[in-house]
Amino acid sequence: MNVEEALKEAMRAQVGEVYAPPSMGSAVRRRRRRSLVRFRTTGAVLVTAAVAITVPVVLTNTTPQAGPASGASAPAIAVPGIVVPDVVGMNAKKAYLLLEQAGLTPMIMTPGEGADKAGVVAGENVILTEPAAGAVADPKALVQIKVPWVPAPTASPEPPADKPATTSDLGDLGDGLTWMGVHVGYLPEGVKWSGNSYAGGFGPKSATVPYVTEGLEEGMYSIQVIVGVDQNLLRRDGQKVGPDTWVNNYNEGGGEEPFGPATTLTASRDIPGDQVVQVLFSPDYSASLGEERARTEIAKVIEHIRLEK
Amino acid sequence: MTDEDEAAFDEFVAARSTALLRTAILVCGASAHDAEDLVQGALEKVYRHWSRIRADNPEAYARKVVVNSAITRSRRRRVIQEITFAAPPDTPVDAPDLGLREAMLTELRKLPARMRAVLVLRYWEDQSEAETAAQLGCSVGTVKSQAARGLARIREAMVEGVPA
Repeated sequence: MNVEEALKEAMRAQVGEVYAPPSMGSAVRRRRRRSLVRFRTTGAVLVTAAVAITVPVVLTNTTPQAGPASGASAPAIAVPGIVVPDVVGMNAKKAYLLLEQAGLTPMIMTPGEGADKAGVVAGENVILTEPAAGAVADPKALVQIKVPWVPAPTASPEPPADKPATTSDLGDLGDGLTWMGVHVGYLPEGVKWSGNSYAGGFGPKSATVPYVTEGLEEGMYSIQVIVGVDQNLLRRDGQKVGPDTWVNNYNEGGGEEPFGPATTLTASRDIPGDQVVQVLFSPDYSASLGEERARTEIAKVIEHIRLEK
Repeated sequence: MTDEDEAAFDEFVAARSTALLRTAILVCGASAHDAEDLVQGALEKVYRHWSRIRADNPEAYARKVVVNSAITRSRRRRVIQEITFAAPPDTPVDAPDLGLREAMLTELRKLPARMRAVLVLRYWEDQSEAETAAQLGCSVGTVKSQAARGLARIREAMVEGVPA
């Protein structure tokens, strides 16, 4: 047997039995959407992931409330120019679904100003959208759904159990380090709980808590921790820094890119049980530390997240 | 993207992802899991430009992205690989064929990433020298010399791999 034939034979033996999983196409699409969401929220607290939204709501219930563009019930994929529906006053989650159905890319945001630090949480009803109702947007254009700050519920650390699928907060978390069955055991110096938390935005049994440095504008994060059971939160690429733990920088396309002002330093870890945890360092915060220290710190933060017994 | 674009993309993925995955495993010398991630990343790029490239030759484009990101990735892993593969296997060789195959694959993984990519494209994908050169963005002469040197090293491994 000559060397070419022998090599072919060896290669066939190595990969001949490997098949791509049937889910490849949907995995690619999820990845694309997820990376868009991540980039668009650079620096702003990520409250919800487009990918992780499950759609149990009957959409016809919300359609009559829509404004000028209630053509939303028709498939709107290739329509050039979509009139932004009027969703003000609507529950943010319903507004999200309606805008998504209209062919836009909605994102739920808390307002960037007008709140007095702690003691407030994101409310549930939409106060305005950007672009506003009636404006014509490109298909898939980003529409920010803004919700107000409302006083945080006092005392009860248990969130109301009757609406697990909505984006709501986890209540008073004390020091903000223990929630959803995990304990954040380490934060870099000068970083503390923002006073906010959001549940349900990243699929079932998910929540996210932003941590901030002193003087950061409301609605922004320095470090954001996301916990969920959606395996898409786990990105097994980049630098492996520990058991089941990876650190990488993602750019607009979700692709790996060298550390820089337009990338989000992200650590993912598969923790025991069915949970997955992700830690994001905002581009500004990463830049303030410098790459080497940011990488060391993010590895330390994710390493010290443990299950709370 | 139109619905038709989406459907065509699904068809493309269903038809080609296994071939892309196999090539990725061979080029980057990684586990199937790592290679799968790499292929997903490449297909995401394809998806992003799908309406533009679908009529062109999406497979060649996808393969080019897969091969080039596999080269990049394997360069990053190279140091670790050298250490892993430099150690002699601790299990004795059972059958000459198996030992030979292992020796060849080990040698293949130890080659520089681009040289390995040349061998994979030429002998696994059965691409011509010109096609291989186009995929890797180098000249036909480079493909020829890289293939010759790569094969020479594999041949040495074959000779050593066969128990006397």
